Amino acid sequence: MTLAAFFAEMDPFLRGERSAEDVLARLGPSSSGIGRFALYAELVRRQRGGIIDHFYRPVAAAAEAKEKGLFGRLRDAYLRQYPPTHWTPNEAARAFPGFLAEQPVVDAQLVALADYAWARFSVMHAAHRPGELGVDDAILVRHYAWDVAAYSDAVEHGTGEAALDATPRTLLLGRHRRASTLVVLTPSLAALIAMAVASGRRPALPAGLTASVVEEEARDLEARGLFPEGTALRIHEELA
Amino acid sequence: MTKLAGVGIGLRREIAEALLGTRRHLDWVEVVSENFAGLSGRPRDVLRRARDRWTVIPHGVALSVGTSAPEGYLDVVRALVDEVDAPFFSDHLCYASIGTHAFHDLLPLPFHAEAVAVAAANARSAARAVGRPLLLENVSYYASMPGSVLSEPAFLGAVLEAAGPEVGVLLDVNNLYVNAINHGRDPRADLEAFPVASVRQLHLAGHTREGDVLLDTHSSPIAPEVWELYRDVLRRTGPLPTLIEWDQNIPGVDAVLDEADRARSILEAA
Repeated sequence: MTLAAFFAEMDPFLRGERSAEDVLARLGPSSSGIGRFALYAELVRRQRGGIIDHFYRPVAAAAEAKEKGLFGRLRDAYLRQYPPTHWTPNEAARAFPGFLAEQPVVDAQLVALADYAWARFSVMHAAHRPGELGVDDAILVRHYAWDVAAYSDAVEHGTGEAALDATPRTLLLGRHRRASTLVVLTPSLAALIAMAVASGRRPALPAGLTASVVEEEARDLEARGLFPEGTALRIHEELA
Repeated sequence: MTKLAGVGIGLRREIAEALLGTRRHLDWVEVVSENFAGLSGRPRDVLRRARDRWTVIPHGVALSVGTSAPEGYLDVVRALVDEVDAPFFSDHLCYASIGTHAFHDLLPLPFHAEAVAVAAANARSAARAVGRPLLLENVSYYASMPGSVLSEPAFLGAVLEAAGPEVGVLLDVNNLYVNAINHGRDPRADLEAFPVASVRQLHLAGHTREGDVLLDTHSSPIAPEVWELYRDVLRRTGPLPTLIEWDQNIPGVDAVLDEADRARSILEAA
């Protein structure tokens, strides 16, 4: 039996599309027996599923609270539709929020929680652009109809009974430029304008909002490690 | 390039901050290549901090010498190995992908001549592409694959012989143990047959029982039988750099460092 023939049988078997009995009928017996051989499809299923479980624990908690077994069905359907094709395990989780959004049985809460989970991962793994002012991929703004941050923290840290509060939240997520820690905050309107200006845009200031308030927010974002040093000064010059 | 000695532990995300802040003695760390190679952001920051303090060994899970390395993979591994100036890098004697399908598991090959030739050629090519020696780890396997005609030690020995001097062995003592038990063999007899002259590094890890199978889960303390086998290995090999692998259900960095201290005391007495 050639290696090519071996892999041609093992590929669909390991993806759960062919039974151990069928594979061994074609390849010949395993001296360990069919039960032990069949274990490999299960181990691969666990490994792949474990990536999604790990990434999206808050989604799993919320889904299971709605209907027992729901998350497992969604995860398995996702992995059938998007089988991992990249050597980085993280990539196997990338399309999950979009997949959930396409499912008629999934409500928007689960989609929001999944989006938040991937957003956190994104900012923690994005490169800072040293020497440049303004925002980069390590800082994101998201708006959710629920307090997904508090719920996710409660699930992941096991702090009490998690409940998804129906309070709309705009969140600014970023990675501290020196400490490399996740920063999540609710930005003020002035902070959002500071981000826009730092990105090279020139939004008109709403009535009642002065340039000095925007600069103050930019200094605060600098102090929190989200803006590189010097950004507040640049904003001051832009708004002068 | 630094020479590796002593005892290391795996730098895993769950314990990274605690490990980087510890004052306890540790000789080196191992990183899972796929968790750092080609990545920016926090993984890169953690890697820099670790490199400033210890020798860092990249240990991969996606090389897939039984099939072929994923496209672009060796380039990012080379960059990682260069960045930490590792004396060598390691992966597994197995396959982890078929074509574009990534299984994210370490899957055993049939122990036969064609698999020897393919794995040896791919391992040698990987070592040359990365520019450092490659150590291949003996994987745990729960079932013999159809078509196997060689014993596990004979298969590994044949791969090493065909691969040449750029490829050595990372002997996982726990895998040696669970393979012997799962297949009804004596671990010491397997050790006798093992190509120990090519071993450059050791792994120690915990396993768990599921039904009639011992699974290599890295989720528990090292079993007493594996500690005993570690002593036997060192009697045959002499002192070798040893890594504690604890990847799941990690109770805290001190528990892992306690295991490292225990390994060091055995290693220093060897």
